[in-house]
Amino acid sequence: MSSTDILQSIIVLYFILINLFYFGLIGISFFGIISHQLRAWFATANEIYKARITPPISIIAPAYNEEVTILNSISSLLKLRYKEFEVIVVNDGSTDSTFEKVNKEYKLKKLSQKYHPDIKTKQVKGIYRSKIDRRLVVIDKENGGKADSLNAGINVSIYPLFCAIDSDSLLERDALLRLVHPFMENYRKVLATGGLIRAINGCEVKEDGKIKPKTTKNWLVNIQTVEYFRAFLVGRFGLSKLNCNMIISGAYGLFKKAPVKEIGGYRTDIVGEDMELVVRLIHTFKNSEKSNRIYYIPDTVCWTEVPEKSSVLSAQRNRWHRGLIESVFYHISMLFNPGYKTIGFIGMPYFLFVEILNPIIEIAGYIVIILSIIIGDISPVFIISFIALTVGMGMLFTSMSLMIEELFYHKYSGIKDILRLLCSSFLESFGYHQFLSAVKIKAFIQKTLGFKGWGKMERVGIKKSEGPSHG
Amino acid sequence: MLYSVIKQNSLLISVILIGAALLISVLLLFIRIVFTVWNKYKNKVIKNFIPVMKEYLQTGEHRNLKSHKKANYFKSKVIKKTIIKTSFGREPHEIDRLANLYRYLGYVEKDIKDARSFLWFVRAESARCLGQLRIEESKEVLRLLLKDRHVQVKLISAWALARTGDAQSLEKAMEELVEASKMAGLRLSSSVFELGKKAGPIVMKALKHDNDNVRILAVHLLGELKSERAVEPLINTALKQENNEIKIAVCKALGNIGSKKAESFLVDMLSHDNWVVRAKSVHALGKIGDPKEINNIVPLLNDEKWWVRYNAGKALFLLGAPGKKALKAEAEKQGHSRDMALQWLSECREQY
Repeated sequence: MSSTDILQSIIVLYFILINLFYFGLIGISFFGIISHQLRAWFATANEIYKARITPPISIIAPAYNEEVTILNSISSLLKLRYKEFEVIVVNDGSTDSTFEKVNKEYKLKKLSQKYHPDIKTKQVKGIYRSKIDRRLVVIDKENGGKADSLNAGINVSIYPLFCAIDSDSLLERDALLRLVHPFMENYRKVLATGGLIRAINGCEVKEDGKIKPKTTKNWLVNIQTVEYFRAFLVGRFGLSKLNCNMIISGAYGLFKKAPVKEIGGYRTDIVGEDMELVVRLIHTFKNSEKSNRIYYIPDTVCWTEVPEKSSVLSAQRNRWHRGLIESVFYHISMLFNPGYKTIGFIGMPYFLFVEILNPIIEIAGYIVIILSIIIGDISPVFIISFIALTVGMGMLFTSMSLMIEELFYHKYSGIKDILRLLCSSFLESFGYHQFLSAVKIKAFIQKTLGFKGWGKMERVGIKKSEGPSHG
Repeated sequence: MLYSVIKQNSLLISVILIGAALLISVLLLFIRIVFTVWNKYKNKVIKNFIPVMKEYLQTGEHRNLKSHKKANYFKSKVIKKTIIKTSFGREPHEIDRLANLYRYLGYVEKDIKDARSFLWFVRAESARCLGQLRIEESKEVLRLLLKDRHVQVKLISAWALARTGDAQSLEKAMEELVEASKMAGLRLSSSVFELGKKAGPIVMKALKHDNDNVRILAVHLLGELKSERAVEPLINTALKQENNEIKIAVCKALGNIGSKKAESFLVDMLSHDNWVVRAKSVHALGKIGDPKEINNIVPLLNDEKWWVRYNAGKALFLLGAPGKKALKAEAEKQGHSRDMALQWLSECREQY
């Protein structure tokens, strides 16, 4: 057996194992979502809203140079249907007019409240409350990054649960009610919950905050839309069912405040603070008597703006991948550790061997194919069929995710939208997937070299349509 | 071995995979078409049925309903759902008439049969429909469903029994649900409201139940009912119990009821060892709103726990002008109480 044969065998075996795992995950997600939807049918958002046992929530939205989106975000947050909540916007030393815009619109008044940092943060210049809506609190602080802002928000928050969101995201009106449901079922055991995130680009946002989902003419956005379906409806939900989900998106997650404070809040010296926090919570509390369950709810919806340019997408994914690498390696002691059960034997190996190593093995695969062609060790038919195999697998998984979306959530009403999403699931395999692999390899190298930058995220803002929504 | 199999058949496998993906895509489009056709059919059925239903609601005569009685499976599903939807927010006499219509079309019989289905969601749905229309003859089957192995079925049948006015089942429902889920509180508070005054004595009786969790639930429910008659039994329950969870629930319930009769008990709780009891009792005193208690509340602005200090400030804030005066006096002093007083004074300035 030649060395290229051995390499080919390893790559093919890896490919088979990954795809078998994905198939398993799709099956678990499919039946899990059926069961979840049936339960949700008998505990509707309306019933949860009427319940007197919904715990109050502090929503924390860090904002750095978000002048384009901040007012829409605050307005949508204040319109959320929930009994008792406060919205804490943390102005993280913005250099644009983020603070001025909020001040003008919501008539802020400085509070004489002293800042007691249980978690250390950069200096807080002032805490303000809106005269128009008392539920809105604004913290004006020196720039310290997203994690530092979230920590400041946790320090100022008054409620036992906090919901960390991105200030450029929009939550559906009943999103908090769904997210809090697991806490109502078993408050003592639940540590955190996360929900589904969708791409808002191209969607119509009505004046009353309702969103009409639509696809766009920008294929990069459409491809990300289907990618999000796969990641959230299949990936995270499937892992959550196996009790080994380790990611709650920074754009939308609900946490119990006390344990987060106990472990010192978000780490400010890393780029993937959201994932690292969840992994640290699991690492600390998994085997304790305290709260230790992380739930993923597939039907709560947070809408977020996804990058429309490849350069911005590259910077975003680079940061996510470095964050993933940090989180996994800081807590590598959980890998194959029997004490952590499915986290140790499924969650950690999945993130290490699939999410982190996959791009490297994929690119290695392409190199082996090129080498084999040069040596003359491989037939063109095999190359074509191997590429077709990869494309086929990708298409199959994405179309199955789309099927789950269509059967259970049915958000996109137009045939044109469905056709666009189907085309995106096909196009994803040609260029987009390889582009992301290259971005991830770059992130891997940068991480190894110790690079810590965030990259730039351009916002175009959310398109609002006139008049109230219908239906 | 596996590698060589894949290598030899890779083209075939990839064709199968792409074929499967295309098949799913076609299926997806087919589902979309089915949804569209179903929605059109549903709208058509509703459009035809609504005038007939309105006429029945006004006259109580069945004459135009015969054709709907023999409707096919799909049509009868749509009609059934339409009746249930129409019943939301209606007056009791209108619900009675809708229930008669439901009965006439044979849905009650069908729901009672479905209540024995092996699928839990079919049982739950039948209980929901029977409860929504307050179907008298369903009590027996709903009582059986209270013992169902599935918590959602228990919850719905408890609520449905309350809708039918069956107060006697409330204690049983509390026992069945309390171990199963916190959501029991949710549905049972709605059950208690459905029963109205009838629920009071039964829930008060549950304060003496053997099970701690049933007693805690009873305390919460009495807080929701806001009946002054419950104040004394609630205080007695708290005094007899070592369990702090019950004390916390009692303080919260007394705050909800807002009766001055609870003040001396709440003042005693201000010096309790457990900080949550202190926080809840001071908050309750604020909700009751008697300025006489200011001197008892002020020392808690210096409590070692932030949450207790916060609630003490809030209580003074809730007391209006006299509370503001007390906060001003504390703001002149040093220590924890000053910070909290200043924080709540800035809240007062916005309010007054």
